[in-house]
Amino acid sequence: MDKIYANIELLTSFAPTINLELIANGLLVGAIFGLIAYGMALVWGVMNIINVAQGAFVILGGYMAFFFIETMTGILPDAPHILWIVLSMAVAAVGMGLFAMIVFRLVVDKVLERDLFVSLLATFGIELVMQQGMNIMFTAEERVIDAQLQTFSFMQNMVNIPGSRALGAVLGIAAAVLLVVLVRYSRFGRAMRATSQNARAARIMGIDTRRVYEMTYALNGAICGVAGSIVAFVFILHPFQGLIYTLRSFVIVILAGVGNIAGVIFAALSLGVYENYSGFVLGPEFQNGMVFIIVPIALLVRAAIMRRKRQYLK
Amino acid sequence: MKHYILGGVSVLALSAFAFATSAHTIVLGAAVSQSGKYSTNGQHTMNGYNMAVDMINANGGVIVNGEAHDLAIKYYDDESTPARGAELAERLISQDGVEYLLGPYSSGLTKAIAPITEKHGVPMVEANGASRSLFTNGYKNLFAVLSTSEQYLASSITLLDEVAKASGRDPASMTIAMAFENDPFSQDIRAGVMDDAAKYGMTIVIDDKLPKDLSDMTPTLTKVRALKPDLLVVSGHSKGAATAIRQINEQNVYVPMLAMTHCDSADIIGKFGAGAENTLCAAQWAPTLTYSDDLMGSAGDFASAFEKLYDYAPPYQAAESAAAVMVFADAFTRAGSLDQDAVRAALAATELSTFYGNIDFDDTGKNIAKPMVLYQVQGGALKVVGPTQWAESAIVHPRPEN
Repeated sequence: MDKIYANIELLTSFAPTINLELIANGLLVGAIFGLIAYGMALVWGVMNIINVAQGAFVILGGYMAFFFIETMTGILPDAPHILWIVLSMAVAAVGMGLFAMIVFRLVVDKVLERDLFVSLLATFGIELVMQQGMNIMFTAEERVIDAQLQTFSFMQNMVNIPGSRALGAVLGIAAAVLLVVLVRYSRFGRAMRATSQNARAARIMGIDTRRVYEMTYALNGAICGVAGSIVAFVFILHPFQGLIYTLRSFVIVILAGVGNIAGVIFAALSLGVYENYSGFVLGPEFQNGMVFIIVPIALLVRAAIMRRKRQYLK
Repeated sequence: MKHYILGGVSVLALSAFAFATSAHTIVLGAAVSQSGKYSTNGQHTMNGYNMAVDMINANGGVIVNGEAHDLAIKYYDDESTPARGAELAERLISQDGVEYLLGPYSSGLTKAIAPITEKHGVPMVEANGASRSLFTNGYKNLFAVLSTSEQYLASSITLLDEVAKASGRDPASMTIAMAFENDPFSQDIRAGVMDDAAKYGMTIVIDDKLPKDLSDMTPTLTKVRALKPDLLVVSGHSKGAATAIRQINEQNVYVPMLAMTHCDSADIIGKFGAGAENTLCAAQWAPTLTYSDDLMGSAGDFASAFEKLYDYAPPYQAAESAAAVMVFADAFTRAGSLDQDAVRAALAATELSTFYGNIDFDDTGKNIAKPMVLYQVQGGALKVVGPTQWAESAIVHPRPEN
């Protein structure tokens, strides 16, 4: 308890700088989590599948980016590093898109019509197989991509924004905006929304819903690929590190409400800030726990609001 | 039915044993992680074991009562899970008839296997379980060649005391920030640091526990920046080391002295280059130490032979694993028989000088003859800077600000 008081005291005595730093960092980290959650929300909303393998997808995307950059800097050491960083995202996006398509055909397609429990188990199985596969292929050694970006310091070096995080957040938000536009205005987006609202009616109207499911899952793979390359230069790659990304995106989607695509970004940014504060005040060991505490709270609040509006959760 | 199974098992055990001795081979059993999260360090462990076995066999084997025996190891993959490790230890002993065990990788696995070996009275020499809780159960069959966890970073506190005195400051005015992972091993290290800090009267200003699936240290580092401690100690396996170095640099956090564990297994120099400069790293062993023995030569000789064989420089996990095999070989020779009781007594009386350091087990089975060393990354290489009597280079303190 004394420790918590001391942390609060510290927070208030260096109020402007510490708060600014915690908020800034929370927003940057939240944007990255938001991108991953966005993919999960898409699959959840359209296919009614909670993709437990989300984290493993992210990590595999990170490995693709890592090995791409390692190979390219070996071949062309003089090219600007930032070029490879950006290209690695494209490579990871395409690679993971194809990978997700294969996973869809092999597994997900078979459990689509079954109940949620079966698909939960199936995607959990995919997660386990991927973890072990990555462990065998890439070993358990931690990998990082060095973005070679400088850190921006403000207020006599008390507030610091690492360039890599800023880049990650910008790219993450850009990708999310692109997706919102795609879902809202493209033909494919319209088919996706139709399928999510009523698959049977969509099929009657001539939409190949299986194709929509496949493309949605592949799109989610591509999102994870981009997110993975960001994770590789902001955090760390490790075959068994994926689960936290699955859990965080799960919490974010729950907070935003399934089907509420725009809410995902807002929920993710708030969660990032909230997490940084709870880690600071209560200590990092409670950081993850505090994330999960808000899930039942959010569900209770939402249920109360729904009841007042005479709506119901599907 | 039960009798048949038991009978079958003992026949199997006998035949395995008969096979082993008729060919003059002593079989050591080991459940080591070849898959799962410890597979990298498990591989280092196996490479160390294998290299020592090959060296011993190439040099005439183990002489027991005038007769030469070859060593061999029977491995199983414990999949980095304690339950599986315990199961496999049981299998090695009851089904495969193995009479001597080498340790697994990590304290957790060792903790799972130790009760099994104790139950069967099978001596186990282990090289990779450093948690001090292993040595408080009165085990008679557990022998550890490495320094235990509470000693890991304690030397950094001694070093802080020395540099404080050298710069004319009172050691009691020194402040320490700690960030340790919330697992038994790292918390043991924390306890050792706390004890030593209390001894010198230093103040602990931050005491954070890092979560197991750590990805972001920002809240802790923000505190460090505000409180400006004289020493920051971090320990959270290789993931913790890599995360800490990356974020300390990215977030422009400055501390005059930074000490951590697992620098070499995280390869912080290879990953972060100049970003790792002047970091202090605790290690069980260093290739530059002046220890030596007749089999492996000096610590440096071991390192170059290992690198020739496996194509990478030996981390201390490999060195201590090789030393564990040497301890067994020495005990077999001194016991003069392959009787478990005689070997156990010989192990307990071990006084061995190896390339890895001196080995002398106390009553609880831990090695009390070898201190931890503290490296500093200087010019992209690891230089031993502490304890001062083994130092090859003077510590750079305070770390220059970039």
